[in-house]
Amino acid sequence: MDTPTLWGVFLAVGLGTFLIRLSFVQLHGSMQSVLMRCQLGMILVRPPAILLPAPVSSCSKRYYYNSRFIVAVICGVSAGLLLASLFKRPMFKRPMSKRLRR
Amino acid sequence: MHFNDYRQHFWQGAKDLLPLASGVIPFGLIAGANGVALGMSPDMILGMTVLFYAGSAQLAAYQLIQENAAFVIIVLTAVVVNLRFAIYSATFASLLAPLKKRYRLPLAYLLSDQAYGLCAIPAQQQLTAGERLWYYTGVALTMWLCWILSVVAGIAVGASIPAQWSLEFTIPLAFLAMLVSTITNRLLLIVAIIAGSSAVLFKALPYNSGFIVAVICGVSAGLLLASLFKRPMFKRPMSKRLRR
Repeated sequence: MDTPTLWGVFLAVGLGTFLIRLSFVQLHGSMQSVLMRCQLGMILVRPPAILLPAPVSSCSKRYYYNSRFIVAVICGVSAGLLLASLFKRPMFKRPMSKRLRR
Repeated sequence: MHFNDYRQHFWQGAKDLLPLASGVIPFGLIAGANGVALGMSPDMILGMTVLFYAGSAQLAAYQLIQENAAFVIIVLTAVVVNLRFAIYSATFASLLAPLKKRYRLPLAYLLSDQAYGLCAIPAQQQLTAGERLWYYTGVALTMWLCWILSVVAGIAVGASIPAQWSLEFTIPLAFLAMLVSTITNRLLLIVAIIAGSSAVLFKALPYNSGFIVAVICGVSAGLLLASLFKRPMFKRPMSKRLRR
């Protein structure tokens, strides 16, 4: 990808992100009730959005058939889950509604 | 209230952010060093960092740039990753909306995961709007400085790291760490599994568009499950739940 296109990507993402950050602040009191209905979708979109770009996309080309990469990913996920359970994070214990109340 | 009292809240916010910097600095170092590893110039990495001001989107964009994904796919992916800022925006709307534009715009730009984490807690809701605003400004500005400086350090360190170390390998690892902390209930776990499986299934789609299809599959499945099981959390608008 050439330099001008990359700057185009940066500007487009920067502008898009800024508009997302500003959205509710700017529309406070006018379209907020409409936007609030989209919030569940916004919560659900985060895990796939974080999950997919790197671990899944990078499984192409170099890493897909690299057994060391697969082992590293499995070790990383297992270690994360183990640590989460060791420190007794409330992640799977109470419904989200109770956690959000805190 | 006297200005000095507000200043105290500003510095309190800055101080409260510092423990979280231990998680931000390594991430910033990775973001800076990976940009160098991808062959980007320091001014491009800094420009990207300032414009995005979102580490996960920056790493996602690196990944797609590395794979020569199409312009639209990179922009869509990064924007989708950043959709969570809309929730933060909703949380801070009542605080920032009454401000003049010259304060409102930069303070909205400074919204981040850490600022949300520190400023949206119930203890903060007990404070006056002025106190909350100064506290938020202290947290948000310190976070911005931490992030930019750690990326600059990453650029400086990245240039001295040999290419054969394959530093880009740290991107999936950083994402895995984020993913584990993001999945906070069973529904989100199911959404992640469905989205991940769909991404593998639709990998052959052109221009890496399988990613977008997988996100749509995951979110649709999540919405469907939520409506099927009618969990209490999905009955009322999120605004009411967040306020409590």
